[in-house]
Amino acid sequence: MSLYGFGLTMGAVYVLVLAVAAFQPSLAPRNILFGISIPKSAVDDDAVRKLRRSYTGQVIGYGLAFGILVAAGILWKTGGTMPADDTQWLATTLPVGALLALFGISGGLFVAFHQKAERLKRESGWQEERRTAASLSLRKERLHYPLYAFAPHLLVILISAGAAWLLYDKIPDSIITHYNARGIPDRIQDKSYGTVFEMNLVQLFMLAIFIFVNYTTGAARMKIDPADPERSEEQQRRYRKGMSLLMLLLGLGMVIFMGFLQAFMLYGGSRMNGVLIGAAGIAPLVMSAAAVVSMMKLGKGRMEASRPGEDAKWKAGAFYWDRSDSAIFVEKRTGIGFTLNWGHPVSWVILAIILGFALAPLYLNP
Amino acid sequence: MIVSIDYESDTPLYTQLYDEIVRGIASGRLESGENLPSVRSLAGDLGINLHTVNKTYQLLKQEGFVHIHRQKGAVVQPAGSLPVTDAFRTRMERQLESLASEALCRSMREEEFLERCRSAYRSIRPQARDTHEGGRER
Repeated sequence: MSLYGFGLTMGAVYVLVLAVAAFQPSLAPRNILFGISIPKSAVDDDAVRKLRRSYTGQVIGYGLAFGILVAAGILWKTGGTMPADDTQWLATTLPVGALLALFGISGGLFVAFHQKAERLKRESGWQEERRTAASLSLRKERLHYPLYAFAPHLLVILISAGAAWLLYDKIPDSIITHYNARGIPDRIQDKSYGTVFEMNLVQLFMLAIFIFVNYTTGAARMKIDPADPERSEEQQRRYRKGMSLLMLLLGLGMVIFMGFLQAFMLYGGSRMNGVLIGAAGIAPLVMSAAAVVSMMKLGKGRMEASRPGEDAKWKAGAFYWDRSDSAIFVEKRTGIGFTLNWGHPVSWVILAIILGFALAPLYLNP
Repeated sequence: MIVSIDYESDTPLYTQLYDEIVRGIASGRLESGENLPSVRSLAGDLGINLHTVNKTYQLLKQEGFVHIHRQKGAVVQPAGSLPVTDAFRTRMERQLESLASEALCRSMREEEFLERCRSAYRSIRPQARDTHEGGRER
C-alpha cells in the first residue's frame, strides 16, 4: 500500500473520531449540557444553543487545524513516498499519536464547556429535580435479546473453525499474520494449531464482549421521569430494544468479518493483494460508522430523567461516581449507551476482566 | 406501575416507597400475585441504597401486603385479604387526630374534613367500595 492509501485510512479514522467528538452535544440527551442537567424548558434557549454551537465549532476548528498540520508535516518530511525503515515512525507512530492527541483536544474542550454549562446553570437559577421515579413493571418486559439470539454468531465461529479443521492439511506451512503499513508481509509464522485457530479465539472474545454489552442494555438502571412516566417508559423501551438489536447485528458483522479474514489468511495464498488488505482495513471502519449513525438515530431527542444532586456525581461531566448508589450500569450522559458507576467496586472488577482479556494476547504471543 | 419518591421530603425514603406500593395494591394497579422487582434492581432504578428498599420490603411483608417467596421474591397479596387489626386502627386514629387537630386550628369545617377523607378513600379505588365495607364489618 502506498503512503497515500495508508494515509487515507488513517485520515478517515481521524475524521470519524473528530465528527463524533464535534457532534457530542447531539449524542447526549437533550436536557444534558456537557454533563450538566438543565430544565426541559431550557433545552432550546439561546444561551444553550450558543454553547453547543461554540463547542462544535472549536472541536472542528482545532481538530482540523491539528490534523492538517500533522499531515503536512509527514508529507514534507517524506515527500509523499513511504519512508525508509529508520523514519518509519513518521507513517506509523505519528498518525496514531495524532489520534490520541485528538482525544486530548476534544476531552479538554469538553471539560472547559462542562464548567461553562455549570456556570450557566448557576447564573440562570435553574433548579434540580426533587423527585425521582421507578417502574415496577418495566423490567418484566423483554427489553434486550436473550442469549440464544447469539446462536447465529456461534454458528459462524463454528463454521470458521470447522473449515480450518477440515482443510488443515491444505493450509501452507507458513502463514502471514501481519502486514505492515506498506502492505508487505512483515510477520510470518509457522503453521500450528495456535496460528490457525487464533482468529477463532478472537471471534469468541468479541462474541463475549457483545453478549456482555447486550446484557448491560437490560441490566442498566432504568430512570423514569416522574413528571412524564409514560413517555419515559416508552423511551426506555425503544432505546434499549434498539441498542440490543444493534449489538446483535454489529456482533454478527464483526464475527463474519473475522471469519473472512481468517479464510484469506489461511487459504488466500498469493491472492492476498493490496485491494483486499485495504478492504479488510476499511470494513470495521464502515461498520463503526454505521453503528454510530444508527445510535444517533436511536438516541435522537431523548431526555434524561435527572436525579436530585446528580450533577455533582458526574465527575468532569462524564464519569459517574456514587458510593451509595447500588446501580452498576447507568445510562451515559455524554453519549449513547451505558457506562459504569465507578463508585461501585464491581465496576473495577469488570474493567480489570476486560483489560485482562484484551491484554492477555500481548503476553502470550510476543 | 410507577413509584415516585421525593428526596427532600421529611418523610423517610423507605416510608415513601412503602406508601407508594400500598397505594398501588389498594388501587389495583399492583395485582395480586404480581412480583415486585428485586431489591437490587429497584434500588438501582431509584438510585438509592439497597438497605432502604430492603427495609420497605420487610415492612410490607410484616404487614402482610407481600409474601416473600424463595424464588419469585416479593409477591403481592390480594388487596381485600388483610383484616383490619387493632394495631392499624390505633395508627390510623393517631394520624387522623394529627390531621384533625391541624384542621381545627385552621378552622376547617367538619363537613369539609369528612368530605376530604371520603374523597381520598374513593379516589384510590372508587369502584371497590363494597369489598372494603365488607371488611369493616368483620
